[in-house]
Amino acid sequence: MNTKEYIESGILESYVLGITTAGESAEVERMASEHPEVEIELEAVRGTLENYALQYEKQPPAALKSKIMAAVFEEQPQQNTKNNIVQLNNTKPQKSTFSMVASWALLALSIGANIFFFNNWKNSEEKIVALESQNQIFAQENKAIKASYQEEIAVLQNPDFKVIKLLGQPDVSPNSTALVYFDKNKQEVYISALDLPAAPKGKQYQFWAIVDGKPVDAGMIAGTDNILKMKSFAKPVAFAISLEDTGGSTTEAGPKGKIYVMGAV
Amino acid sequence: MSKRKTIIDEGDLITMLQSKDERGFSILYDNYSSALYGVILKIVRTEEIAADVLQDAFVKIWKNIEGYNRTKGTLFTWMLNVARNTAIDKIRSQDFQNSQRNQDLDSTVEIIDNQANSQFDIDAIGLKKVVENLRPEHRQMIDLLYFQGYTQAEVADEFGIPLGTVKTRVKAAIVHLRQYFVEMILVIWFGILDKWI
Repeated sequence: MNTKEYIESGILESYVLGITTAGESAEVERMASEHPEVEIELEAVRGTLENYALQYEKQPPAALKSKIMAAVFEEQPQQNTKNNIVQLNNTKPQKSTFSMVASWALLALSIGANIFFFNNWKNSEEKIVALESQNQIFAQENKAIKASYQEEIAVLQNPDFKVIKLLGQPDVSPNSTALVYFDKNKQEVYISALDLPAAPKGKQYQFWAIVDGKPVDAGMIAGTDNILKMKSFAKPVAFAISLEDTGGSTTEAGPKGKIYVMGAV
Repeated sequence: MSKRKTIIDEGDLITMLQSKDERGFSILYDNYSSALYGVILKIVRTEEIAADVLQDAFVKIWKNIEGYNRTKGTLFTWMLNVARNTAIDKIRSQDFQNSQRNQDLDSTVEIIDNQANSQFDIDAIGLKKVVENLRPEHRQMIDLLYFQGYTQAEVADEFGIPLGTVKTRVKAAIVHLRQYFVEMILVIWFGILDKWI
C-alpha cells in the first residue's frame, strides 16, 4: 500500500480518535515516522479534531475545580514535596527562544500574506467596477447600432421606397457612389452606402435635391456609417452631394463647392 | 473562553505533570477544563453527570500522565480521548441507561432548559455554522465517531453502509472541517485588515 492509499484508508482519523488496535497504532506511528506526508496529514487531522472539540467549549461550574483537585490529590497527599518542583528555567531555554522567534516570524509572514491577498482582492473589485461601466457603454452602443439597422431594414423592406444610385462626377471623383431611398407618397428621403473620399478638415459634405431645376439644401451629412434621414421634398428630379465648408451653403446661395456624386430620380 | 488560562510551553507543563507537581495540575485544569467539559456535556447531555465525568477524566489523566508519550500526539488530543472515552463508557453503563429510562419530568425539563440556554451562547451560534456547513451524512459520521464512540466498522454494521463509504465520508467530513477552520481564520483576518485600511 502506498502512502496516498494509506492516508485515504481513514486509519489516521481512527488513530486520532483513539479507536485503533494496538497493532494498528504501532503501524500508524511507524508510517508517520518514515513518511513525512503521513506525518503532515496526521497533524492536520489532529488539529482539525482539536478545533472541532473546541467548538463545544463550555466553562464548567466554578466550584468544580476545588472538588476535582481534592479528588485527584486525595490519594497521594504527601507526595508533592519540594523535591518534585521542577526548575523550569533550566530545562529548555533555547527551545523557548527559538519558538518565540519562529512564531513571530510566522505571524509576520501571515500578516504579509494577508495584506497581499487583501490588496489583490481590492484590485479585483476595482477592475470589476471598471469592467461593469465599460460593459454599460458597450450595451448602449449596441442599442444605438441596433436601432440604426432596424431603421435601415424598415426602409429597405418598404416597397414604396425607390432606390436611386448617385454616381461619381467624372472630373471630381469618378469612383464615388451613394444610394438615396425616396418615398414619393410620404416624401421621405434617406441616404446610405456612402462611398466618398474622407472630407478634409474644415469641409463637410452637403446633400442637395434638385427641385424645379434648382438645387435645394437637403441637409448636412453627419457620418457615413449609418442610414441618414434627410429633409423631405415633394417633387425632386435629382439628388446630389457637394463638398462645402463646415456648416454648408444655403439654398439661396446654392452649392459653392464641387459636386461629387449625382443621380436622377 | 476561560479567563484564567496560563500561557505555558506544553513540554514544560508535561514535565511538571509527570513529576506530579500540583501547580502543573492547576494550570492543566484552567487551560483545558472548558474544552473537555464541553465535549463531555455534548456526550452525556446533563450538567450533573458531566461534572462527575469531568472529575473521573481528570483523575485518570493525573494517574496515567506517565504513560502519555509526546511523540504520539499532542497533550490536548490525548486528554480529549481520555475525556471522550470516560463519557462514552458512562453513557454505555447500566446505571446511566437505567437513569435515562427512569428520568422523571423534572429532569427532562432541566435538559430542555439547558438546550434552550445553549442557543443563546455565542459559542453555540459559532458551532451551528460549522455544523451547518457539513453535509448531513458527513455530520452524522463525525458525531457517531466522536460523540457516540462508534468505530468505523460499527457504523458500517449498524447503518448497513459499506465500510469503504464510511471511511470516505469521515475523510470528506474532516477535510471539509479543515477547510472551514482555515476560512474562518482568513475571515477574521480580513475583518481586522478592513478596519485598518
